[in-house]
Amino acid sequence: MNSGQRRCSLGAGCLLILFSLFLFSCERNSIQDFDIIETHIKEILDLPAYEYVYRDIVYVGSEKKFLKIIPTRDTEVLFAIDVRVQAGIDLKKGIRLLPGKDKDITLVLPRAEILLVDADEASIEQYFAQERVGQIMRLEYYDEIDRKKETIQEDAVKRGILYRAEENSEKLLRNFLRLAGFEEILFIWETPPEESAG
Amino acid sequence: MGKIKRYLITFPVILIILIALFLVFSKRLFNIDLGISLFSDSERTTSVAVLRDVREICSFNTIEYIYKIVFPLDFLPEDVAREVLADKQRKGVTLNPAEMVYLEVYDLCREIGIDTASKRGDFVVVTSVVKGGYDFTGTVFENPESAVNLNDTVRINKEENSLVIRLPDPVIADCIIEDATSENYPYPDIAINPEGWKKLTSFLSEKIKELVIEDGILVRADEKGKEFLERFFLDAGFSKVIFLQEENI
Repeated sequence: MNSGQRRCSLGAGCLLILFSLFLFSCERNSIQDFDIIETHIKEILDLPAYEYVYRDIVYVGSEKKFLKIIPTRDTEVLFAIDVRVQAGIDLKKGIRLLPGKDKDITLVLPRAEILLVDADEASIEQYFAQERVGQIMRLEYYDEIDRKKETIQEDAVKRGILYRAEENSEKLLRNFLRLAGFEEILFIWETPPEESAG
Repeated sequence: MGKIKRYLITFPVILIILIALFLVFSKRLFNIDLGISLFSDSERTTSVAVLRDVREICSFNTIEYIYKIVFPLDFLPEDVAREVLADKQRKGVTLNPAEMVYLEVYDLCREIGIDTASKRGDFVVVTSVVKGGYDFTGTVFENPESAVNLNDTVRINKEENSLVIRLPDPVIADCIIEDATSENYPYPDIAINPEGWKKLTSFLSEKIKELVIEDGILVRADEKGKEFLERFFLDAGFSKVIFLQEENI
């Protein structure tokens, strides 16, 4: 082997090591075993009574460069989506009716709670999506939506959604009982609300 | 002399390369963070949410179906290619309903950039929650004053101490596509922009509603709702509760 060949093989060896380490360093998305895909049927007794709809404007930009020069990823997206916060009463937690004299009745109910915080896909409005290098991945923007949900829920509670849900549930149940002939209807909420009265 | 010179050059070169590699990959190989990386990342995410609307809901949900669907694999046959269906359609051959759905799914995938051509194509597992129950909006239960004739909806028989009540027809109250995140979604992520995701979920919502109705969600919702309301009025002091169906009125 002459010196030229040695230099070549040395260079090739170094490149091979570099390439192997490069591959090793890349993120690997392992495919996990799939859960058994199934359908559940669940009996519920929800009385959703109030809904707040928030418009969330989401921007996600992702840039990745190799050696700070070569772009390996360059994507950005701007869109708006509605996030629904629904509050109401979970009657599975217990409802008691205490009939009184004549046409009086007392209802003991669990307090209103947040039943749902969900991004409404049908409301998506995409302003732009750039995929210069790489592609926009769904979990990237859903992670950002999810991150915001807690703040949205807190805001809805601060704005009195639970109080309004109780008021509205009370109205519906009162109507049911009035139609059934009751005149004096008293409501007792079992635990103190976790919010100001809006 | 030449041999020594070669060693004097090549040895430091290899050493420098190895040191450089160690510095660069020290975090991944040995979990030692020296703050040196070949890649530079820049993530810019932000969102601002504003309250847009508030609304009263006047419904009672009694049943919940949780469906998991693997899109597009649950909707595509293994042995029918898109080209075959498109060719049949071009030739004026009437496609059967199943073939129409296949073609619709193939076209949707093409539109939103989901690969169906390769053997292990893209896929996404969608969890959907469908709720069934009664919507009392616009009924006398929401506003008793609106009733033209209350006896059409509620009648009290004092002698028998019974209550006759007519409920609205059960409905699908909500069809929610569960929001996946990196923490709760164990499958490989899918490349799709928000607009594409909207199209995909809109298609799935319709299909899922059809599936749950076929599975009898409305019948179960009605049964469960009546079961609860019967208990409710019996606890309120009635001896008997009779539910009227639409055709009994």
